Amino acid sequence: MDRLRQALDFCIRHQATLGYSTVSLLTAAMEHIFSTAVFKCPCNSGNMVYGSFFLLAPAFVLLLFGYMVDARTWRQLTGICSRKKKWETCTHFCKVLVPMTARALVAPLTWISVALLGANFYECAASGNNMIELFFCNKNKTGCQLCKDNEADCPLFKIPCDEKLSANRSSERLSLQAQSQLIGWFLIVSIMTVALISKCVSRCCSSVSYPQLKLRKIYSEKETEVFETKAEEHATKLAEGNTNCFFVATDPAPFPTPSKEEWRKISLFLDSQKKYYNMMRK
Amino acid sequence: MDAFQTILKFFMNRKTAIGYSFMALLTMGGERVFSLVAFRCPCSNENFRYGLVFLFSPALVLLVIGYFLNSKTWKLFTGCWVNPRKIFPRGNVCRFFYVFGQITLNALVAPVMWLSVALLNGTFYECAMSGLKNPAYLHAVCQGKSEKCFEELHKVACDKSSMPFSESDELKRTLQAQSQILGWCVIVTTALLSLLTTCCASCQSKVSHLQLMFWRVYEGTEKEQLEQIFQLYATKLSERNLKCFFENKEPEPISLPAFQAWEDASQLYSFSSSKQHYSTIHRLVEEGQKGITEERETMLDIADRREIP
Repeated sequence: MDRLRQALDFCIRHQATLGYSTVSLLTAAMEHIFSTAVFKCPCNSGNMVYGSFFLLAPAFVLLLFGYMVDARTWRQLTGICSRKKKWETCTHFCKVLVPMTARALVAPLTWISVALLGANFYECAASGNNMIELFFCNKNKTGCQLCKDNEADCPLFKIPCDEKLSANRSSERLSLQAQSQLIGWFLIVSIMTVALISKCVSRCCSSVSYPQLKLRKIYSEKETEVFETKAEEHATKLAEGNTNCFFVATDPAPFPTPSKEEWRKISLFLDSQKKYYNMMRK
Repeated sequence: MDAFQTILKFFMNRKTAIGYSFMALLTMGGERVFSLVAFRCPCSNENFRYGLVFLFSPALVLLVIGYFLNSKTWKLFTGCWVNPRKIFPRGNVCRFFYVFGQITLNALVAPVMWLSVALLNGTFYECAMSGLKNPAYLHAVCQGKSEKCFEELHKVACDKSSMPFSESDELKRTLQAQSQILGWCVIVTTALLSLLTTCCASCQSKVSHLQLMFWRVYEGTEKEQLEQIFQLYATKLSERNLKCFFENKEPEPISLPAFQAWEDASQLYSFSSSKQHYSTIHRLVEEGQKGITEERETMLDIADRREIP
């Protein structure tokens, strides 16, 4: 029981990292399932569309889910149209949109990277038109397998379905699978570099010190927890009072509850220029 | 025990996501079972009808079940024949369509999941479209193939055509590819539409985020309290009635809400932008039975449609 408690504490302390890792693992597993069980390259002129759809459509869907699932999206958006200072609200929203998008991009970028490393989708898409073939061909355009318009039996289209065709291609040129994996690694390395640089820049530009930032984060989490507990207690007392009054037909006792304006004020996000840890401390 | 409580609370907080994932897994499992066990493409001129029936009938059944299982449906329709004013109140005729629209959107989740999974699998679409006798479609699919393609496309799904294997295999792959592209289009469109509608609903909300969270907690708690109080009063009343029946005595009076109070409490709730009432019972108890439709109300019954994490 003690070990379980310790394990749980560890999970709670690192819940953001664990959350992102779980999302990435699940995305990688799903990509593997799709690529082995669902994906079947048609090996004709439709290769490009088919391969691109499998590469990009799930990434887009994961991005949308990333936005929907993030609590901070709805915290910002709820009631934004009825606020009075629209320009300030819009500026604030744009500032918050960048970190929100960065968090939502974890799953789509994992999908694209894993899909490129797996190489099935790219191989199918690249064998569907002449662009990629021309790009990787040698300059004399000898040994290039280009397809003419309306050609149904072009060998380039058949590459994903026929392993011998793929092996017979010139050794001067990278195979489509190798191209895909190179692009995949390049993408992973660039994402990591950009992430590190942006975190460095945001920390450098931070107006508070490291321990204060940590305290602010822990306080924010604790306050949310306590808010949920208090909201449950308050709601239980209010609901008990109301349902009793409904049945017994007496007048309800006065029950103090925050006003709409107070709720609206505490729903606004913390402005990093202010010295308050959270709006509720006001 | 404390650790288990924490773990349980973690899962309870994400119950909508877990619910939807479970529904998706169930849909995938069901689709697999149907396509392996029940589905047998006839490979004749009936392919189109057969494939479409297998594609759309389960979706329709899931839609009907979605309507059945949503308690708001019964809250909306109970007693509407006796008193049509209940669903079309004076001055607020569109309210019925708004609420019915919300119920329909909730019920559409399962059918859309079925359609996406069925199209990504490709079996039903492949069977259906191989039986489509539209000349333009046949020309597009059979382009560059032998003449037999036009007559024997419907046999391709069962591998019974007399075309060479490479041709029939390519035709099968083409039909499956079309199905999967259509499936992804359905998923992308649905995800985009649901994000946009939820954004619009949130943006136009007159209530701030935290108050909305409190409102959801209050709704859940009030529902629990109502169940408990129903049990309590039902026990008291039945004990009293049976005691009087057996002992042949006069019953003591037990006060219960009047018929009109029940009617008023059963109406679907609309949040009032000027008062701080969180449910119909809350408003009824604080304002008495003056009538629910006095003020112009804000339609903010969005709490059921999405999870607020």
